[in-house]
Amino acid sequence: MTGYIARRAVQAVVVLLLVTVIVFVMLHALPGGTARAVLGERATNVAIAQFEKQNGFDQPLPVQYWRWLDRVLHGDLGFSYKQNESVSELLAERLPKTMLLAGVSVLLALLVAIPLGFVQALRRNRLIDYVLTGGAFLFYSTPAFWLALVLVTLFAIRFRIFPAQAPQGSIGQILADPAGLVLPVLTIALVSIAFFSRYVRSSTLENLMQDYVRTARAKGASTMRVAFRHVLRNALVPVVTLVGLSLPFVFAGTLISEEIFNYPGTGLLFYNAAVARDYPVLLGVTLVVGVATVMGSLLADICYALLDPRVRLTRERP
Amino acid sequence: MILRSPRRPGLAVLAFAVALALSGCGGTQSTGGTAKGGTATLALPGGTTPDFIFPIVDGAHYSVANIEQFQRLMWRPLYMYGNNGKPLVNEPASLADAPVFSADDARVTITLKPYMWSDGQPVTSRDFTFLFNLLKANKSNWAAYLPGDVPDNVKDVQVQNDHTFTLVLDHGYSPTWFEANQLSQLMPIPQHAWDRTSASGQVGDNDTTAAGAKAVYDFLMSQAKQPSTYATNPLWQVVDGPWKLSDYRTDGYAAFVPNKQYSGPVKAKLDKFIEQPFTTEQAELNVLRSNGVDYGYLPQSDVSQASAIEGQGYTFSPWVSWGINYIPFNFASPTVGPIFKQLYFRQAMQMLIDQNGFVSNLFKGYGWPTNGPVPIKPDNPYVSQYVKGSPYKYSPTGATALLKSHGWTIHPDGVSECTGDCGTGVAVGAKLQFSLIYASGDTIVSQEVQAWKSAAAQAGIQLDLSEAPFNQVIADAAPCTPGQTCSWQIVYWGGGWLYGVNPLPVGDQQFLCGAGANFGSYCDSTNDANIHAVQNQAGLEPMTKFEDYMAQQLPVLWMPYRPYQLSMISKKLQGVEQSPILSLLPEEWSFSK
Repeated sequence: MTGYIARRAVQAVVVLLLVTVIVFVMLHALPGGTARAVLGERATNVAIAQFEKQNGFDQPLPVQYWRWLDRVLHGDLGFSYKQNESVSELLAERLPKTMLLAGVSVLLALLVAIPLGFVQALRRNRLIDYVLTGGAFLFYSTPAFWLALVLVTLFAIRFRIFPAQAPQGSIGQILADPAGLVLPVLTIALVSIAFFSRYVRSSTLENLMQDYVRTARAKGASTMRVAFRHVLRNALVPVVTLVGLSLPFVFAGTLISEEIFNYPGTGLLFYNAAVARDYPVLLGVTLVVGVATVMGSLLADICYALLDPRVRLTRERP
Repeated sequence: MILRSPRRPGLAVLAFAVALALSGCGGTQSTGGTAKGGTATLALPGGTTPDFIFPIVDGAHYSVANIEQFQRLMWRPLYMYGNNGKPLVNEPASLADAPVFSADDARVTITLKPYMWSDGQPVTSRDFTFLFNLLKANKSNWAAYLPGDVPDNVKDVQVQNDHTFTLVLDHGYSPTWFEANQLSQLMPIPQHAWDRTSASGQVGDNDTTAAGAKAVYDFLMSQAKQPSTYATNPLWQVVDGPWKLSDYRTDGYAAFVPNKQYSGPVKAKLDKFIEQPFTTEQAELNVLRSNGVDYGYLPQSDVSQASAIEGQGYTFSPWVSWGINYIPFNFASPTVGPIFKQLYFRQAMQMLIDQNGFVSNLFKGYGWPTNGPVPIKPDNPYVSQYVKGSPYKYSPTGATALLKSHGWTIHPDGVSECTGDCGTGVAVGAKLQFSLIYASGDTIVSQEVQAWKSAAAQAGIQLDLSEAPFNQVIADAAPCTPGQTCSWQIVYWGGGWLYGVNPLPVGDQQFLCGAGANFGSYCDSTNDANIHAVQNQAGLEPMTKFEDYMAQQLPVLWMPYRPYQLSMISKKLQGVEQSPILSLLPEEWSFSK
């Protein structure tokens, strides 16, 4: 097991380095430049050249990258010229809000999707399966921004049940206004429910056809006992991996949800940074999301290996 | 002056499709009389938030959101502009009485009104000299600074008494220009609270030496770089404007409460004024439709739905800002620059732009043409009859005839070719084919260039269009310098130029030879002389001469201008005046009973 984790950790580090290289190069290829963003539209070419020299932007890209990476490894994600705060502080303020939104959404999605997928598999090709499958396809194929708009129009404008705007302020202020979180959470959760429930259904169906199910039944176990004691536990194993791998998908959902519902999380931070050419913030957010995705994937693999020894045994004894 | 980016409609069209399908309409009516108190919430434009509190603004924070809509609520300039919808001085909102110029206009005496700071101290001449000393010592960090302008053009500040001082200028200036574009940028700051070099340091006359002024500036900048403390740092609580900051978040949320010590004639009636940031226009529209803001806006692409939103208790009111829109040519282009330098060619190009058609068809009537450097709206004393009269009306046949008469063989829907004497530097065989980069993300900008391309094709001018993000368009449009690649030919960022902190539209930043925002490297000695005359000579005649010459010469192609925003103001909110300078005066607002 230790060897397996070590191998996966090394792979994760390599992937992370690649992510940083790609992000760094892509963001530096963006037009406009930091100097003009900082010095303003009326800055002279001389002033811009001076700024770039002072800040090392005139150095070759590999040199700039190495210096940036060195700072990142020492915990310095840079300073936002536009927002007058260190990127670390900005992320520390915004990331928990995004994590709250994403966490509640995923939790809700799992709580609904697991029973739904399970019921669909147990009632395969019956009316309830067709109805739930249709619903899942509908939400899965619905763009999140469209879904958000429909929710706003229905519940905030037409019936005025929930506010059109997410709660603002600190985490405490956000938690104090749970009604404001309903629509942003639903936007992410409804699409995720469709996504997760399809996997739970197929995973359950696959397990229902396994030998151990036939054996349990032959031993006289009731259908319910087989379903809940044996099949459900095994069917959920792939879902663990899925949750880890779905982090980028969930982040994309939060980005849209934050924009539509004006939620002051990382999405707003990223959007404003993009508009203002605030490269340190763009780099910081992208890096953090990249790290979260890779770490999520790594944790999912480790959990999967813990839950299903065959995974690590296959790796260790090829 | 501030370069203005076009609004991005985002998902607005889609939003209204859903809205129409699903929502119903209700209505509210305002009643007579106003009530004291209440909280008014203003929706900030998507992605535009106040993020800098120190009034000596650096380049990264030089924006309408910071200056006109944030700082000026707390610190008033000597002369505040924007009066009754016109770009003129707002005397009641200004900190000083009208300036008195000497006979030769080389000395100006200013008398401060007897105002108090919020901590009970009087606003004095010393507060002005404090600002001036900081500006002099740190001018390169001040985004509003232009070489030769204030503080360079002030040789001395002579203090007469606590409320009166005289600026001795390096020569005579136009009083109109000096008041509008120089004095309006100067806002006294509280010397008795801010003249220190550290948080624990003693307040003193640190600013009276250059080194001391730099140290004070550095300290204040260091404090300004802690936005999370904006509402709690005692420094920023010493204000002379009608509002004090009570809450601020780094996402741009700002809440203000009345400054009880405000000495001006118009005291705040509201209990609180909130600036609410929004991620996108879509987010704002959602909240507007659920009556979540008192003062919001409608995306331009959804203007046809104004009446539906009005039915929800809002008044539709386009906010006319003080600006112009245009498309620069690159006169320095080594390939097509010689063609651009031909006046007849620029005239032909202008005649291919159907400004009135754009306004009626693309802007749905909410816009107006630009004919020169002085805006024709809002009503103002500066714009001339010649500029108002649209010198080059839309006429593809006229454009074609003009080109033919100057040696071009016209190939409609093809590429016309120079076959005669087409002007200095234009070779026989030269073609009328140009690249045009325009800002992506704004449907109306895209429609404008497509319509222009079609019209130009009638005269055999081929425009090769390419889209790029606003930032790239601005970066591409930088004035060309010797030794650097200079490939752009025509660019259009779509938002034009806003005459905000420099309300007299003198064009010194866009059209003067070598000016920083003279993207196309236009250079004309007659125009330079005209601009200097506007700056140095009293009266409106120099302005008329300058703008008429620019309107006739076409240093750029004039394009129609849109309102700053299509405001939706709650019918319960009274007293809202939309300043063309884009400043906010919520002290004039109140809720109806």
